[in-house]
Amino acid sequence: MKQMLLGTSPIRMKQKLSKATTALPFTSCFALSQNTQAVTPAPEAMRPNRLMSVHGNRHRRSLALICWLVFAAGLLVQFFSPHLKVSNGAFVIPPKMAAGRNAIRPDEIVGGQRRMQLLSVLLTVSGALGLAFLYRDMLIGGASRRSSEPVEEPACRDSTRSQHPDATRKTLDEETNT
Amino acid sequence: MATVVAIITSMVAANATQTITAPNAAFISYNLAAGANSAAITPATNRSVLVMFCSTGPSGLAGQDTGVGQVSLLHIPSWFIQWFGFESTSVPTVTSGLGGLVGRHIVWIDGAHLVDIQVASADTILIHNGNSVTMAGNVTLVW
Repeated sequence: MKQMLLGTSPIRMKQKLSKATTALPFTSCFALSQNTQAVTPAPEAMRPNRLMSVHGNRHRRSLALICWLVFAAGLLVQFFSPHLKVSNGAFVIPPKMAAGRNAIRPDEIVGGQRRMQLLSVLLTVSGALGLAFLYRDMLIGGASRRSSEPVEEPACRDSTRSQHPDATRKTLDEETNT
Repeated sequence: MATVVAIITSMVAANATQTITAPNAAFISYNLAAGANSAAITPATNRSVLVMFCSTGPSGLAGQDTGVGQVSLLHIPSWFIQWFGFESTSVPTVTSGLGGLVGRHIVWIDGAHLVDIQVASADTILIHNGNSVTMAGNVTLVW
């Protein structure tokens, strides 16, 4: 029964996880619904759960899209802002601009540059934070998986030993006899 | 992907921090042919603007063609520009005045008294090279 439950749900879970926009709680919710379906095959009863997960995914995808758009908008603002070099604590006005025929207003140029940079950093950081919040499960999961990898190995050895207690007892008995 | 987003975000944040925290100062370098004028510069209005300048002279660099000095400006928009400052010569002199007439002399930049900052209009100033050779230097406005 356990094998049947585990055998059916992870495939669906993998399919869901492969999509970047889907998140772990929703997939686990989806997987849970699959499990319960395997135990009690009542499709009518599971419809609300599925609908909820589909709506949740859509909502999450739209949020992720908004975050990506905000992030991209920040980068675009950064790209199109006048890139004035700051040297020795002063904005360097390009020589071409200073040699041109049009009057230059250093205070307006500097103010415009500041406004653009502020807008750019606000958009980029808020987009990045939004993305980090949306994908927090993947980020935290990935980090914890990475950190737990070297610890798991000795734990597995212990678990194998505990899976065969008779064998360990036999070896212990042999050791005491000798 | 997360690493790329983090790197890009920190680059944007670093760039913005540098721009936002930099003081209100603009560095304008000039390289003017004989008799040429720079673009008109509009100083910030209704506040004191410190103009620091130096003449690095022509490419050959004669001692008389270099110079350094400073002048404080007040720009009342559409009315006039008022100034008070010091110019470097063998005998240091004080310069002060008020006006909006085109071509009015504000301060000499070089020691030979051939490159100067002039009034370009009631709202703008410019750098004029009255020398027969190309002159270079820079002007920093702090407001």
